[in-house]
Amino acid sequence: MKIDVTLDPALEELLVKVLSPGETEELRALLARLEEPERLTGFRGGEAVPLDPGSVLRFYGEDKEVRAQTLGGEVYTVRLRLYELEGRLDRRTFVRVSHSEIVNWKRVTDLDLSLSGTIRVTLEGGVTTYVSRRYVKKIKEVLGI
Amino acid sequence: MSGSEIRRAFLRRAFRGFPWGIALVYLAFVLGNAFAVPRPQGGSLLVVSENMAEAYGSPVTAALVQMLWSGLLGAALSTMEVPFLLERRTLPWSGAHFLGTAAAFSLAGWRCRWFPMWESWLALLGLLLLCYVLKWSVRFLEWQADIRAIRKSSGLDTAEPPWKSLVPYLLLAAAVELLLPPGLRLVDARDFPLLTGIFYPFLVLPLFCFFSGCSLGTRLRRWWLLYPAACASLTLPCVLGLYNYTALFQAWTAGVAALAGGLTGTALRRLKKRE
Repeated sequence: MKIDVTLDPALEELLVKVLSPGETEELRALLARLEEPERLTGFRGGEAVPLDPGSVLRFYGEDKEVRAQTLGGEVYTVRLRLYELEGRLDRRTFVRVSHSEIVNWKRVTDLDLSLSGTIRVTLEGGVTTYVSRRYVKKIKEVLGI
Repeated sequence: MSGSEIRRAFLRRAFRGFPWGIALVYLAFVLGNAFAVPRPQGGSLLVVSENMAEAYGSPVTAALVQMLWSGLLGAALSTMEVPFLLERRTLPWSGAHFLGTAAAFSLAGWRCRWFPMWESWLALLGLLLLCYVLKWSVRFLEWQADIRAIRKSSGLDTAEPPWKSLVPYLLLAAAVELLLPPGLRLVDARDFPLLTGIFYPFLVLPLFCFFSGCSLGTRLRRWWLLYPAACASLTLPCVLGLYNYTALFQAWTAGVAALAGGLTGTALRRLKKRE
C-alpha cells in the first residue's frame, strides 16, 4: 500500500481519498479502521480500560471528574471534559441532557414528566436521571423535531 | 441554572417590577376615579383611599406609603416566573411564591386600606390564585407537548396514563369556574351586573369549556368524556353561593360546551390520523 499525502490549505477539514484497483480485503479493513469511532479510555482502580461508546449509558460530572456508566453498571472515570466528549461522540446518539450529563439516547427506555415539572429519563437497566428543561430545546433539535 | 443565577434573576425581575407595581396601582385608582359613580367631589383625582389619607394624617404621606407597598407588590408579582427556572420542585416553589405574593398583597391592602370588606380581599386573592393556576397549567401543557414529541421521535411508547393529561385541564377548569366569578363580582356594578350576569355565563364560560374540551379531545380518547361532567359540576359551588337556582343553566352551558369541544377535538384527531 502506497501513501500519498497532499497538503492543501484551502481544505476546511481532513479529507481522505482512497484509490484502489478493486474491492479488496485490504481496502475493506482500511475503511473499517477509518470509520471506526474514536475509542475512549476509562479508568477504574488504577486500571485503564478501552470503552466502546455504544456500551456507555451516560457520561456525567461527579466530584470535578467525568464518569462513564456502562450497560453492566460499571462506572469509569474518563479524562476528558464533557464538552470534549460532546465534540468526539456522535451527536445524534449522545445527547446533552443537562449541564453535567450526556446520555446515550439509543439506550433510553422511558421519558416521563412529573406533575411537579421534573423530566425523568430511564435508561436500560433501570438507570434513571433527570433532563434539564433548559436542554429540551437542544434535544428536540438533535432529534430533528 | 445555579443558585446564584436564580438569585440574580429574582432580584433583576423584582427591581424591574417595583415601578410597574406603583404604576399599576395608580392606574387602578385613575380608572376607579374615571368610572366612579357619583364622581369625586370637586373633580379631584383620588390616588389613595379616603380612609388611608385619614389614617396617615396627610394624603401625601399616604401616597408615599402606598407607593412603597404597591412597589413591593409589583416586585413580588414580577418574580412569579422565577420558580420555573428551577429544575426540581418547581410546583412547591411556585406554591410558596403564591403564598409570599398573597401575603404581600394582603399586607399592602391592609396598610393602604384597599379593602373595605373582607369579601373583596378574598375575591382578589382568588383572582391572584387563578393567575398562578393558569400560568402553571399552560406551562405544564407546553412541557407535556415537548415530552410527547421527544418520545414519539425517539420511538418510545407515546401512551401515558390518561389522568396525567386530564389533571391540568381539571385544575384549569376549577380555577376558572371557582375563582373567576367571585373576582368578577367584586368589580361588577351592583345595579346591573354585566360581568357576572352576561360576560361570564354567556361568553367566558362556554368559550373556555369549548376550547379546553377541544384541546383535550385531540389528546385523549374516551377519557375526555369525564371533562364535560367535571365542567358542569364545577359551576355548582358558584351557582349556589354567588347566584341562585335560576343560574343553574350555567351547569349545562358548561357541560354542553365542553362536550361540543371534546367532539370537535375527537373529529380533528381522527382527521389528522387519516392524513
